[in-house]
Amino acid sequence: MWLGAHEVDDYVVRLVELLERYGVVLSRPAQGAAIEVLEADDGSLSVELIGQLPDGRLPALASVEVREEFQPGEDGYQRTRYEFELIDRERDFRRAFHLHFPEWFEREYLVVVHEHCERPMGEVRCAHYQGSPIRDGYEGVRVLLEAWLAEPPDCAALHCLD
Amino acid sequence: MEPRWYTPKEAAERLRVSHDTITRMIARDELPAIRLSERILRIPAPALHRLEAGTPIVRRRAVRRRVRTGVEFGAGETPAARETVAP
Repeated sequence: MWLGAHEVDDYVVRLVELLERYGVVLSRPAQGAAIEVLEADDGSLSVELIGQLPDGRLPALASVEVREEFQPGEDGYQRTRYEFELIDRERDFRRAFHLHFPEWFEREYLVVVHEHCERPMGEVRCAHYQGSPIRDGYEGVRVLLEAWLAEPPDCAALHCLD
Repeated sequence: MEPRWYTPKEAAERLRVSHDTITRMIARDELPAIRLSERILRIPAPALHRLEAGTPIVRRRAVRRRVRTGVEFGAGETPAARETVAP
């Protein structure tokens, strides 16, 4: 996934729009606030979005987190890391879809991406599960919503990498 | 406790429109829906409630902020993995 410098900004704006269309109430960025794209000394751009899926309770019992990083290259910016997280306190589970520390995961497990699954939360039967790459943030948001709308996950049915 | 999702039929009843209208709204991306399987289509309740309330989605703007290091990744990750990117 390669994007021009301004396309990264457009992309995160659209990602926030998508989250809000699904009804996610964002706390980062706060309601109505601009979206901060962090420009680090190494030239990377990164963004963090945190919100809740409102369920009539305060605070809501389900939260979502999205983190993405883009590194500059010859053809623009390439997405190099991501994290999509769902915490569902009502049904007591966590699902996460990650691409980070790819060199370590490739060396240890011959994979680049991995997933997490905890049900009940805090009970880690397997530290890392095999996963499929998430093409972009739009797909990541959809995957989180799917996990929230579907039956709670059967973590034991996933392929454990450890 | 509010429902987590609505079926297209339930959404049509809530919005007092026909099932076909809901189908069109989903096809036009006016109403977000998640397809869990070929037969199961669910409309997230927060999305429908937002639409019912008429809450507009105001396009935000992105602003750049210069920082030494960007967003932190892998906060709860295996320490051995985290060490691979330690400075």
